[in-house]
Amino acid sequence: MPAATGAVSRFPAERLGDAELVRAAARGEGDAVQVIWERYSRLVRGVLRGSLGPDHAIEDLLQEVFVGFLKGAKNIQEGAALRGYLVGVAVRLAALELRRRKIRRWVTLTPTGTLPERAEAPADSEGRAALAALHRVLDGVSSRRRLAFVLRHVQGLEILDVAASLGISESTARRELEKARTFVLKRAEREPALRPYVARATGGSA
Amino acid sequence: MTYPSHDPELGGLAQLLRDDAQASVPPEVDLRGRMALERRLREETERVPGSARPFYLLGGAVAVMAFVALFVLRMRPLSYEVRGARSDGPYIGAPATTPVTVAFADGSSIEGAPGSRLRVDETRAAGARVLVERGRAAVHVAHRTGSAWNFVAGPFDVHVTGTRFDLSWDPSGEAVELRLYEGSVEVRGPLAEAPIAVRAGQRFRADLGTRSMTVNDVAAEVATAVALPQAPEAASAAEPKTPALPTSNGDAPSPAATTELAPARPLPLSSEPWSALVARGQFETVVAKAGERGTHDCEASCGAADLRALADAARYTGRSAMAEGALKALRSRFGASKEGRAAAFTLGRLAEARGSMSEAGRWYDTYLGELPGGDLAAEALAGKMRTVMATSGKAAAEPVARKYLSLYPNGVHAQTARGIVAGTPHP
Repeated sequence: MPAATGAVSRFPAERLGDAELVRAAARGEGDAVQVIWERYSRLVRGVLRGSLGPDHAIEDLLQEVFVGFLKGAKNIQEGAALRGYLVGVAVRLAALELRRRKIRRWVTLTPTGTLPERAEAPADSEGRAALAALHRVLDGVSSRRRLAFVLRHVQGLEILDVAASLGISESTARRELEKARTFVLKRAEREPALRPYVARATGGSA
Repeated sequence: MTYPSHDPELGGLAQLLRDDAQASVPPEVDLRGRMALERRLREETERVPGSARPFYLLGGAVAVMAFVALFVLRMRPLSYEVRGARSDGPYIGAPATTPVTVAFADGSSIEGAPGSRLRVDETRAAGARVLVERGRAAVHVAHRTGSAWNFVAGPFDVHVTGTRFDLSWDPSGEAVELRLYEGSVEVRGPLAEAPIAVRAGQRFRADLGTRSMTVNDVAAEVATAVALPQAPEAASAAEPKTPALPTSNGDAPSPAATTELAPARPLPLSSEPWSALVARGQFETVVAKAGERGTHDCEASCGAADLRALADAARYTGRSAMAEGALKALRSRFGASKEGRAAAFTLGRLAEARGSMSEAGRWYDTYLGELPGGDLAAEALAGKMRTVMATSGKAAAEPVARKYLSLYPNGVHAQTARGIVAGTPHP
């Protein structure tokens, strides 16, 4: 029987599962890293942006998440849980950033401790004002509570995943979510810019 | 990606955050991130493992000491020294033929071109505020967590966290030019309500005389448009102006890569469905597409989905009349459809927003009549409660409030409804 000849083509990285991608990234394969970026940068950016609001640091933190992954890829035991891993790192960085903001307020490096609005602010001034108001409201809850709120209500994570990302028990996650919910709804009622959005709640989006 | 509606009461607020979190980033930002990651990967793989390991412990100890020292030091304002010229307090003037360098303790530096004049207005623990009073300054800001620098050129304020750029200000011509080599900055100024993002490879230029601003995407060929509120004076200066100043390296900006910022111009038109554009926040593009087609033509011939998208885009960009036109067309042409019936609610919202409470009440009634169990029924009933209260008083609003409470005892407007009921003498 004649031997088969011809080059063996590599399996395309974009069709690899997360576990294979993690192993390939650990070996320093650039294609795999690109696919991971393609697959998850939007999600991670969303977690950071939802948690921190408009902030200059989002893109830097996004890099930190992925660089952290690159450095730790060899030690990741469950490659299939890549999504949770990246979200977890993003959450930790967001928590650090929130703490840093509080410290900055404390040492009054800026008068308010808040960053300027994001540059690519939407043309919709009503929406912009509402978003700023909502982040003001969220500034009033603890970092952990805020992150739980974002993971659950913005990223749509199940409670178990919220708990895992924050490193807390499911019951604690539930308590944090309930407290965040109560707080946000109560405060949002007092913010004129948020009233239309609170109002939408019972009826869906207008 | 769809998200489960975990909590109807939080729906609107969560959606607000979701929309922002999912807002698409400019392709060049994503590309830059991707390339930076690739670079880091190369660095990681080229690093020889093991050789640095013996130094880890020593490095760790040094890092701890450095951290303690840094913590103490960072509470102090940054110090700086001036090289190449004599400083007079915070004023630093470069000689006519040689540059001046201002070196900060955190590694940041500013090189003022010959003849330029700078002023270090304020130093803080994590940055400084520097005025470029005349001429050009080549700036390198060392990126540190929490760093915050401001460079002021005339009425323009450049907010920086870590980057490298040239900034020039011509006080006689009232023109500012910023060329960014690394990172990103935000520029605030009198010609724009919102801050303008300038990214690596871009050049920002503003001219107070002509009230024009441009961002030239020099490095990439992608132009980013930023919608700005049009100043009355700018209305007459509708023709785009190519920046007259040469770039710092002498090259002329490519007209194709120039985006005129004042007056606002629509984004390049896309062939995507309008609803997809709206979902991505590209409201101006949708409005521009409708404008190209002719808004009235669109009202007469666009499909229901496009009319709904146009109405949303118009509302989100403050064009209430255009939104009303689209919604009314939706109702007249697709009145039996879900979108057509739901348009009644939004028309009520728009009327309420401009203070036409009677009209708003009629639209809410229409919605409730056509879709009594619709998604927006609770909101429409609350709207009716508000409009009746505004037009006929609390007593007239009481039955509506009672109805709201009976149907939605835990609704968002339950407290308002209870207030109306409690404040009305019971028969």
